[in-house]
This record gives sequence, structure tokens and C-alpha cells, in this order.
Amino acid sequence: MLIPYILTLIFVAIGISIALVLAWGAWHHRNPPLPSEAELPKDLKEFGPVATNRWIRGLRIFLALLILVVFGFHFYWVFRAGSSEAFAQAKLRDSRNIRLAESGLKGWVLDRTGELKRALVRYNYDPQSGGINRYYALGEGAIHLTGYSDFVLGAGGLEAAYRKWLTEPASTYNQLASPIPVGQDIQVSVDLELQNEAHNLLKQTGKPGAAIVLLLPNNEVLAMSSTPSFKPEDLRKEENWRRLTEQAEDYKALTFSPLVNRALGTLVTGGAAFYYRPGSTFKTFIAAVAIDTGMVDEIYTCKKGGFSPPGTRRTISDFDNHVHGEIGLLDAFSLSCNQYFAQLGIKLGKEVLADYAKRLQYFIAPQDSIERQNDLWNVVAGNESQFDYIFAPPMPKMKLNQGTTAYDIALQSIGQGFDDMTVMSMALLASAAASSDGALAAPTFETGATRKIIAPFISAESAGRLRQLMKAVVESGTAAAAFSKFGVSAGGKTGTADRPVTFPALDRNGIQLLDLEGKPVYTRQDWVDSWFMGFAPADNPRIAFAVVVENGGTGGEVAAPIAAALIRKAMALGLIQGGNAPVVATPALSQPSANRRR
Amino acid sequence: MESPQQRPRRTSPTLHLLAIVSILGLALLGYVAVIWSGSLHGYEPSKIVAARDLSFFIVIIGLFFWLIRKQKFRGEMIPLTAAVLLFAVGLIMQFRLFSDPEYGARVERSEFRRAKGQAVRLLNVETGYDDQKKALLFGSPDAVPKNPPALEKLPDREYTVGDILTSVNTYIPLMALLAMAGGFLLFKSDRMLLWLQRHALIIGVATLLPFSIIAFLSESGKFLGQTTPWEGVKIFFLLSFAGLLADTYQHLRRTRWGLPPARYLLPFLLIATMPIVPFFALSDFGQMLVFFGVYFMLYIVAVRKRAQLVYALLIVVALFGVFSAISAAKDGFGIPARVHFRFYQWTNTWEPPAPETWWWNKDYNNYLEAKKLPPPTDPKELDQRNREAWNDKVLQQSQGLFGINEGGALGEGLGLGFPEIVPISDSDFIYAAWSEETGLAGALIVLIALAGLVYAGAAISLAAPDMYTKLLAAGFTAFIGFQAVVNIGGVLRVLPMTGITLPFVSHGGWSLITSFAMLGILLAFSHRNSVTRPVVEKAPEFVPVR
Repeated sequence: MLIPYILTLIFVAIGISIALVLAWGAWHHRNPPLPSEAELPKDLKEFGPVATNRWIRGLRIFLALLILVVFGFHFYWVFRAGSSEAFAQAKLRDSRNIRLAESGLKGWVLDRTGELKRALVRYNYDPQSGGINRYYALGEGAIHLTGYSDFVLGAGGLEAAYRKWLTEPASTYNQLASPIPVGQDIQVSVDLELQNEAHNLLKQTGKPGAAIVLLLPNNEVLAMSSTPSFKPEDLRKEENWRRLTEQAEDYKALTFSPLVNRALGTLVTGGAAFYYRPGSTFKTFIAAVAIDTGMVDEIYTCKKGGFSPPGTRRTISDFDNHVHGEIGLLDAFSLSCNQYFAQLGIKLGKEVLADYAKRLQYFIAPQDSIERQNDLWNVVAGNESQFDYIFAPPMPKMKLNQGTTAYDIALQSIGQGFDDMTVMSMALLASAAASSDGALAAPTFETGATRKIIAPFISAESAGRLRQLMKAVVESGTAAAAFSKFGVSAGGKTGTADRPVTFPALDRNGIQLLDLEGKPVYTRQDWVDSWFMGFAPADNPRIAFAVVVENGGTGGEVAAPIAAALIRKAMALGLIQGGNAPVVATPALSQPSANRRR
Repeated sequence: MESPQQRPRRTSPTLHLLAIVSILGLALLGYVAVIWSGSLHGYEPSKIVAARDLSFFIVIIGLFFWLIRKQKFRGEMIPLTAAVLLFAVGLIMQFRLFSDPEYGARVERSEFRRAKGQAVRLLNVETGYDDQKKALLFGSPDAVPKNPPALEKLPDREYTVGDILTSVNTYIPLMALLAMAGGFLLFKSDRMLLWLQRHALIIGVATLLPFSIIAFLSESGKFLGQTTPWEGVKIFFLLSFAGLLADTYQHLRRTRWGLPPARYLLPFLLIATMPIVPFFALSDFGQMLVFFGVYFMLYIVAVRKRAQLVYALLIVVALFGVFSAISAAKDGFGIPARVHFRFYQWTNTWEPPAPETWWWNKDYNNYLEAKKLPPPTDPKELDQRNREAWNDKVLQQSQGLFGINEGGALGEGLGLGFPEIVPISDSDFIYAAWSEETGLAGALIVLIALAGLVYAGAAISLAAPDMYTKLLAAGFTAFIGFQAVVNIGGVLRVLPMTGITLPFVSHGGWSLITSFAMLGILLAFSHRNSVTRPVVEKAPEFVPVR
């Protein structure tokens, strides 16, 4: 690569020198004056060839100017055209990109073990066609994570997020012998088998869903799965690609789009998609604030007919209209009492809640546009803006500003109303609760990265107390039934969230319905999303996670078993043993409530 | 009487011999670079072809000595050396393009492209992957295949000496060099020039007849396969035009309101514009532009009337306006759709016209048909298809510009760019290909050499003692310079794309031969200026119109 290039440079230098010598010679060329010019009669001077010479000189200057103009245009296309929007846009279609993609080798994406055999993205050789092709080991099992790379269809996921890293020459690159640099490999924190397990568990539900597993204390992503998914080779069929992108462009149709990475609420190619209501899992936030502000001894009544916040006649009642009676924090949390947390939230007040929400980097005033959390991830290798374009989740939002009513706070305290969250934000909340210092740490895909604290959330002691509450959910609360079958130690919180969804209506044959004007007809449904978030093991947390299954039913029945299965798999893989996370002494929690009713 | 001051001072022939030998060395360097990059890009350029190309320079050096020793050449050699430099640039670029199996192949281009890509990947694996990775891909670190099986399945393109001896690419440059020598021999004699000037009208008419016949027999601008034998008529028409102009320019100079007397102007215009008809039949508008551009330049140089220059500019502007109006109308009033297409492409390269535009609709439908797509109904899909069709159609221009942009200041390196994806980049778009691989700096070689050629050519015209050779020398110089500017300007979007060649650089049969013949004639005039005593033309014999 280097040698022919250097030869070319020498060639150009000598070539210009020769051309300059010739031009110099031509410039200094002088014709002698015609000897008889001075003696010519006037008529001849005007009509003879001598007079023509002035115009021939003009012609010569004209031609030289034309060459100069041509040079100017060449200069423009080389140095200035890039800043023109239309040109830059058109250049994306340059077939040279195809040639580079067809002949260059990018780096491999290895999983956390660093073993070549367990690479998430690598090349394989097809002896039949003799082709060396990009190969996605998990296929649809990790497509939102690995993304794909195609010169026509673009790129997404890790392929796009670490593109700079993957295409930069590796240290083994031999510049003398190779025409195009061989990119360097990257080792990501994902575990191949856990990722596969997460995908299989979600796929078995047959519903849209997502799961994130983080390894403490650095919040390394062990698994990040989203269903529905698609196979990388599916995109090659043009009609598939068109259907997928049309869905992605129609924000109302996003509900079913496989291009959405539900774990982050983004599109696999970059761009924000949608939020979830976190449901009762968000009580973890209220409980955390209550513990950290010392309001652990509050007792409220959970009565028939529900709780009606001041200023409204609307009521907040419990799931299946359960009545818990007089209840304290521990029981209210483990039984997921809506009325308790509605009252607790109002008591805490919007100022206090807003203060803690800001610590978790939430917006506290609703906004129409979806802003993205561009500084969330801990990125060391590669290009940060390239990474954030793909993986930055939408900013979580609440409404705790001036116009917020008591009813708004009550709804948000139970994860409804104005709560706009992502699976990632819930996993990070679980991680803050599970970490020894109770701080919000940045998630990362890199195994070597150090723990990067974004902001302190609650004190270490409060975090310990919060973990006691979450442990109770698994041991005796709403998730006890699910976890008893698995025999794993964990703490967590279930959630069952109501969320209205809009999607294009289909007829009996699965064909999209159109109205008389040819526009798609949409239908609206109320979905009940099933949530579980938490950490494991209960006493010395090593992993934090969040799972959602859309329209799945109650969190304890659908999401919690998936989480439990993931924990079991992580234990089998040896990700939980070792116990490097520092142990924090957990103070015992007082038990003010007497009545426990299921 | 013949003192040194009275002859044009010329650059020393030794310098030119040195320059030509350096160009040979330079070419050698270029061929080494191309062969080297070829091996990195998955193909092997033929060394026999390279040797053949380099041996052209032996012929050129032979011609040089023939000129100096046998012909006692006394003129200026800058045009010759500049042309040789341009020719070397062209040879290297053509060698690089035709060595590329993807460009050289007439069939299975995409197969070759894929095979090339895979060959590069294999090479990368071989040189850039450690044993563990090789083993994972191929079973064992030593099992990396040398060539992708896809490449081995494709037909072998190894050249033999026999191929070289029978190839037109061997004969055409030789014929071109021969044409240069012939042009020199013919035009250095005063008797020949006198005869040509006397029979200017007959030459014009005699050229027009066979030319028209060939033009009307030709199909889509080509004759007998892929040749354009009428390239040579440029020389004959110019001989005729210059002869007539040298005879009548004194009458044409007598103007009123800037206009010459009709009884001189009209017959002259009639003869001058005769070639329009066959050019129109060929719909070779690029040639037409160069041709009449040069005619006009000669006319204005001979007549020297500023008012007529202004009139001409006004006429061009008016024609432009009329043309735009026609373009917007329902159909072209006889001007082919292709011309409208080229104009639109010139002004809006990146934005397609509406699919129902009259000059675009047919191409758009052809695209859909070729891709076997049903006519789209959804407006979004329609827009998408229209864009695809447009991008497909303006591929040559846009890919050429991307390549120039990609080449930057110093280029990608010879053989290291991707000029093979630009259609016809060996002839019409050779400037784009060259700029991609050698950058703006490499393009400067071409531009400076052209400027040198134009300057030296004009100097020959300035030194010419009589009007006829003065006009001819200016005409041939302007022809080479203007044709080059129209070609490069078309590539760079200075002008609409026209589809004419870059003199001396482009791969081409008749156009290369014609260019070298013009060069030979220029050299003959230069020689003649130096050996004959300047002769003042007879006093004009005309009756003033006053």
C-alpha cells in the first residue's frame, strides 16, 4: 500500500517538474519582430498578418484562462465540495463504499471471555463461494446489540457504535503488504451465553419485551436483549427492509417494529423510539427517597374504594381492588400497595422528589421532543459521539414542576401518569440500589472500564435498607411465588404497568387496513406491561437487571420468572460467584406494621 | 542576413531529448506502481502489455532523432514534449484501467468485482491475521487459499506476445506517431501549402460528401463497431475554413454596424456551417461545440471586430434562453432529449427531475423495465424509484466527481483508487480517473502541459509569416486546447458533459491519430517559421465598399 503510493508521489513530483520546465520554456519563447513591420504602409499594417497577432495573443490568454477556470473547479471539488449538503448526501451513495466494504476487514467483536470462538461478530469462510463474510454468531439473538453493517442498508448496534475502532488498523497491520487496513478487535462485556439465554427467554413469551443484565460494580452490560428481533440476512430482501423502515418511520407503528431496541427505547440504527411506564417497579424510587429522607415509619390506610388525593375526586386503587388496611413501608413495598405509595409520594412532596429525580438525571418537566442521554455511557474505546448516536437512550422524564397536582404525584409514585422510563433507566435504578455506595454509575460495554459515577443518589446506608425491602419482595412478596421454583437469592420489585398503545390495524389476513383516503387505520389498546427489576444475590449483589414483557400480565407471573432464570444462568456461568463487590452491612429494618393481609 | 535575432529563440533539442527520456523513466515508475498496486488489489497487470507501452517511447525517441538529424528540424519542440508527457499519462492510466479485471472484462463484471474484493480479503487475512484466527476461518493456519475460488473460475486473461502483435492498441499509437511524421512532411513544403490554400473550397466540399455518407450510415454515433473515423475531418474542414478566411478576411473586415457586407458574409457562412448537418446526424454535440468554437475563434482573430464578439455573446445568451424555454415546453422542437438531459444534469446533478418530464420520462420507464419493477403508485415509492433511476443515469458524472473529491490533493496512489467504477473512464472520463489516483497534483501535470502546449502553439501562430499558416496554427492549437477544456470541463461540471476525448491522454483510435497529426502540422509550421524568411503578404486587392 505504501510503496505504490510513494512511487505515485515521486511520479507526480517529477511530472510536475517536467511540465513546469516546458511551460517555462513556452513562456520565455520570443519571436523576433518582423523585420519589415515598421516600413509597412498603413493599409498593410491594418490588414496584414501582423495586426492579427494582437488578437492571437488574446486568444492565447483566453485559452490559458479557460485552463485556469478548469483548475479552479477542480480545486472546488477537492476542497470545498465536502461542505455542500447536497454533495455530501449524494456521496453516501458512492459505489466506492461498496468496494471498501467488500474488500476491507473490520475488527471482530469478542465477548467478555475474549475467546475467538465465542466472538459475537466475526468473519467466516464459505468454501463453496470462496467468500469471507461478516458473521453474526447469535444472529437474531443479539441483533439489537451487535447491529449489522451493510453498505446499502447502513449500520447499527455495536457495529456502528464502535465503527471507528473496528476500522482503524490493528497493530498487526502490515502496511507494506495489505491494500486496506485490517481493523482492530474489540472485547465487549457481553456474555455470549447469557445474551442467548436472555433472548430465548423473551422469545418464548411470544411478546415484545426486553431485558438488561448489568455486572456490578462497573455496570458492565452482560446481556441486552429485545424482542421481536430479526435476522441480519433478512434485511437483504428488499421488501423486508422497506417494511421495516416504513414501520420505523411511522412512529405510531413502532409498537411492533423489530428495529426498536426495547432495552434502550431506541432504534437499532440510532434515534429515539419510545418510553415505557415503569408501573410498580418505580416504587423503588419512592421508597429510596423515603428511606434517604428518614420517612421509614409512615403508616397509611389502604381502604376499599381507593385513595383520593387532595384536589380531585379521582381515586387510586390497588390491583384487583385489593385492600391492605393499615400498612407500613416494608409490607407496602413487598405487596406493592398503590394507595400507600400514592400517599407517601404526596407526603414527600414534589420538591424532594424532584431533587432525587435530578440526581438520577431525569427531566422533571415534561417535554414534547425526546432528548437523549448523550453522556450516560462510559465509552473509552472508539468515538463517543458515534457511540451515543446508536446507544444513548431517551432521557427519562417525570412531571414535578410548578403545575404538578397531588393527583399527578400520586400517579407518578406508582409508576403511572407522567413517568416516562426506559428499561435501561430501571436497570440503573436497580444498580444504584444494589451498589455499596448507592450511586448512579454509568453503564458500559467495555470490560476494562473503571466504575464511572454519574451522580450520588442515596447514602450507602439507605441503599442497604432499600435492598432489605427488595429482598422481602422476592422472599415473601409479589415475586415470591416465581422465585421459589428457582431457588436463587435475589432482591427486586415487580411491576404491572398500564400503557395505552396505538398501532396500525390489521385485517384477518394480517394485511394493513387503509381508510378511504388510503391512509392507514390505527387502533388503540390498553396494554398491561409486565416488569421485574432487581439484583442478585440478595446479600452481596453482583448483578442488576430489569426485564419487561409488553402486555404480559402481572410482573410477578411473567417478568419475574424470566429474571430468575437469568440469575440462575448467570450463576451457572460463574458470573455471580467470586463476590468482588464490597459487602455492606445492612441494618435491620423496623417492622411498624402489624396487619399483613394478602 | 540570417542573424540569430531574426529567428525565434527556441529551447535546446538536448533539453527535449532529456525531457523525453525522463518521461520514459517516469512512465516506468508509473507502470511499477500500477503493477505493485494490482497485486495488492487482487489482480496481476500484464508485464507484456507494460513492455509494449514502454516501447512506444523508443519509437518516439526514434522520431525525435529523425526530426533533428534527417529533417534538420529548426523549430520549437515544446508542443512535442508536452504531447509526449500527456501521452505517457494517458498510457499509464489506460494500462491501470484495462489491467483491472473488473474494468477490462466485457462480461461478468460484477463477478470480477466480487472476486477482487475476496482476493483482497484473503490477502488481508494472510498478512494481517494471527494463526489462531486463520485456524478458526480455514481449519488450519496454513490452509489460507492463495486466490479465491471465484477468481479461478473466471476466464483467464493472460496476454501473450501474439495478442500484443495483433492488438489494435499496439497499432493505433504507432499509426498516430506515423501520422505526426506524415503531417510534418506534408506541411513543411510551401508548394503543398499553396496548393491547399488555392483549393480550400474544394477541400471543404470533398470532405463533406464522404463524411455525410458515413454520418448517415452510422448508428448512435459509432461506425463499424466502435470507431469514429470522421475524427480526421476536423483537420480537412479546418484547412478549408482557414483557406477561405485567409482569402476573404479583408473584405469581412469592412463592416457597418459591426456587420460585414452580405455578399461576402453569406457565402462564407454557408460554407462554414455546412458541417453542422452531418454532426447533427451523428448528434455529436461535443464535437460540434469544439468545432464551431474554434471556427469562431479563428474568424474573430482574423476579422478583429469587438462588436462582433459582443454580437456573438448575445447570440449565445439568446440561444441559451431559447433552449431553456424549449426544455420547459412539452417537446424539444427537434433537439434530442439527450441534450436536454445533459443540460439538466449540468445544472442539477443531485436532484432528479419529475418523472413525467418529457425528456426524462422515457429513461425513467426504461429503468423500471430493466429492473422489472411495476410502475409505483405510492408517491413516496415513486420518488424513491425516480431518484434511483436518476442516480443510475448520472452515475458517470457523479462517480467521477466523487473520485476527484476522494483523490484530494495528492491522490489515492496509482492503482489504489477505484476509477474502474466510472463508466468509460479510459476515454471521456480519463481526467477523473487520473485525478482520483494522483490527485490535484497529478491533474496539474496535465493542465500545465496543456498550457505549455497552447502557449507554444500560439507562439508558432504569432511567428507565422502568412495569414494562412497563422490561422491554421492558431486553429490547431485552439482545437487541442479547447477540446481539452471541454472534456475536462464536462467532467468537472464547468460545462455540460459532452462525450469528447482528452487529446493525447484518452484511449481512442481516430481521435489519437488526429491529435498527433495536428501536432505534426504544428511542428511543420514551427520549422517553416524558422527556415523561411518572413514573407510579407501581397497588398490587399479589394475595392472599398464606401
